Amino acid sequence: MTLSDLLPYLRARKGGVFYSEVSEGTGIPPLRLVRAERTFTVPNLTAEELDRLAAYFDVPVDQLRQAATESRSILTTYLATREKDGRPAHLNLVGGVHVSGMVAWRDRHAVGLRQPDDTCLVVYRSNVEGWQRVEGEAAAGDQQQE
Amino acid sequence: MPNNSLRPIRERKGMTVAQLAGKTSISIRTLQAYEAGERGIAPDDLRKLSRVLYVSTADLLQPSEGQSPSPPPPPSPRPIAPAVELTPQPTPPPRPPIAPSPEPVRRTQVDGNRTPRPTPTAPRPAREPRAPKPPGPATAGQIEQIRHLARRMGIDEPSLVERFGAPLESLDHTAARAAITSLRTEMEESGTWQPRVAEGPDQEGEYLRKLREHGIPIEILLINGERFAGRISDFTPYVIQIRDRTNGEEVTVRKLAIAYYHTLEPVNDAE
Repeated sequence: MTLSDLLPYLRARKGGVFYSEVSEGTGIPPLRLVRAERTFTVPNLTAEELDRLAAYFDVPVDQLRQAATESRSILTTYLATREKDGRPAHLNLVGGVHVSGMVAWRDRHAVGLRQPDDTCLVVYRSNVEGWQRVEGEAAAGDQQQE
Repeated sequence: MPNNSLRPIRERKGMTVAQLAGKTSISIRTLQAYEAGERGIAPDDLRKLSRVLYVSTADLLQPSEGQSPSPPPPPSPRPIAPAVELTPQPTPPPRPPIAPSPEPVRRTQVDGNRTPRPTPTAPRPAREPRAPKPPGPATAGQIEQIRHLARRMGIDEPSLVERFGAPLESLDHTAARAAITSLRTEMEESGTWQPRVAEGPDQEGEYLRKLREHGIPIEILLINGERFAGRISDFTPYVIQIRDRTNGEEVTVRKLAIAYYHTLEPVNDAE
């Protein structure tokens, strides 16, 4: 999970705290937090700021450091490939939930997965912990995370 | 002698009559008449002038001394007499008459009187090429990009220093650009590079609008395990508001808290 996806999840887990509250708790300017979440390129938070965020959210700092090095394009590419090939996407959500379905639409924040009964399930990227391909499928351009 | 101090005050403020006219909407001719004392300043104009010139009306109506009170310009410094007597310069010979241009000059009649100037045909002498500027230091963005690429390739900082022969901060702009290019090339060749895929515009908003218009119920699962079901009554980029189908109450849910939601009825894409 990238830092821009992990930070909203951590805010939600902490009761939906706002940027201003995180800023007060960590001393990191709110604008830098907003940028880290919304800038989909390389976050420019320093190692020291990541330490403070880890302490505030009560998570291992390695989780944040790892997230800061990951690229959004890996999940985006996975979903784009599945959409193009007409194959179902299999996503592991935070909390151990597994969902799958054909990619009906996708944007920066969410992906819509069409279910066999024609209902649609919408997943936010900030809750996607990993993804996988089903055994036996040819996998061009897919990425196995974890 | 004018019966007002308009001119000295204006000159003290460093304004021309035209500028004052522009600021006060009083015509130049009227201002000139006021300054010459040919006319008394009208009350409306007096207020305008005092406001623009930042003086009281009484100051303006004070009779002038008869001449401009602005200090005379400082005397221009006299040239210092040379220690030795200069020999008189010979007068230059008269210039020869300008030869007519070999090419006929095209004259376009614009408004009956004016003709455009002929463009010079003689080529300008070639300038000497300037010496290239030395490249500046690498930008913070370049250094961050190098580190990011290195992280993705599993290269640590000491290896980077060894590879480029210097700490990243000491690289110049050109060397940093070359470093980024070489790292990218290496990533492409190793297959680590993932081309950027467009993520597209906001699709969820369109989708929610469709669900609301067709009254399709959804069930929302929050990350804390709570569930809500109902029809969408409103939404923003940050919240979804539904009318709970069990008790009819409006429930506003922040998207931040949603793990996922799904429709409880089939959705027709064609609609």
